Amino acid sequence: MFIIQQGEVAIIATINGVEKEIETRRRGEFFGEMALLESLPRSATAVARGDTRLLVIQCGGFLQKLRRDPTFAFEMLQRLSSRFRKVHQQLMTMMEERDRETPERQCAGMLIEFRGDDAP
Amino acid sequence: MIIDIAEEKLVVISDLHIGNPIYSCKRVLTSFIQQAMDEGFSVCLNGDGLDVVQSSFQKMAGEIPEVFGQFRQLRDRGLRGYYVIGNHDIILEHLLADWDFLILTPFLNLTSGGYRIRIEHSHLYDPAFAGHPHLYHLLTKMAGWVLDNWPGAFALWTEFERRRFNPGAGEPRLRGEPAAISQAAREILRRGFDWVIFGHTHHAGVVSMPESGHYLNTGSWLVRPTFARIVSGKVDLCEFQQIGGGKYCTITDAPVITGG
Repeated sequence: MFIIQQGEVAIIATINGVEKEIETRRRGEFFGEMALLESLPRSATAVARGDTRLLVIQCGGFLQKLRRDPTFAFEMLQRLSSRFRKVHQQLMTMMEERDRETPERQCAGMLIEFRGDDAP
Repeated sequence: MIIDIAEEKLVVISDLHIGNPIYSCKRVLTSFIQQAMDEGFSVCLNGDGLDVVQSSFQKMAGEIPEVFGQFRQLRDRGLRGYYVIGNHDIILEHLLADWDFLILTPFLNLTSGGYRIRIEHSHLYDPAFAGHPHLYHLLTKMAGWVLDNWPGAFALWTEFERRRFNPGAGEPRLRGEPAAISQAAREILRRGFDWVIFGHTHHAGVVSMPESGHYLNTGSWLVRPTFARIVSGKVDLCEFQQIGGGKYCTITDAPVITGG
């Protein structure tokens, strides 16, 4: 994983075959933690914006870092919790929208069926 | 829990040890907070504000209402009072959490004037506390009994620490502190901080680190009323001075106390 000592980094993900910038990480923030914690391939691309200096942490160094700087673990957990909360909220919103849409779609379908054509 | 804050004007004090048998800071502290309020500063109490390990509860009860009443006033004026938990007041965490005029936190990452500043008590990095927490607690309690009966022991202990932890030439750490404290500050600075502000050791000073950034210790009001003053990211180590027999007070720039 990487901690940004100076500068900022754009996080880019491929969505439906198109590269999109999903977030910007700034000084003091970190990225690449999912790949480190789960030993899985990286899920996004990170691109430095201008001069950027990173602190690189591997798995062995990670434990050493936590021992020397335990508040880093607290900050990491808080950031991960915050991201999890956002994803959870997005999921809830999507489910609510789907539930709201269902009766409307049903009504529209019924109307189309009643008129017997595809006219608007 | 709030750890990320933004303040353009903040003063940081630590290690007041309210309730401690050897010193009462009520008068000077209330003057200090009043002055901070008048000048539009929020106030951070960076650990060991209250002392339940070495305290006289009678003394603590006599000092708390007035001091914390001012923190309530601070909130009423739209300013903020932060309380970072230290090792002498961790037992009071539940009580402090209920005081809604204080923002209780384990540490703070402050953004001020575009600079990043870590504020933390630092007991976690004290080798004696981290290595033997129970023994440390027991010895601290016993020291409270000694201080109660012989207040002069505090000055002797401070001098002993200064002689014991005497940094070599060019070594970036404060005199009187174990090396582990400034090493911890360096470790935090490497994460993209400009300043690290600690308390706990009672040895006030400022050290510039070789790589980048600065480490500041706010000292203790048991020794002298030193504090960190932060204005738009500019950090100074200052001393609070009362002028006119305590009637008029000012937060003045004291000469910066450097390490070594």
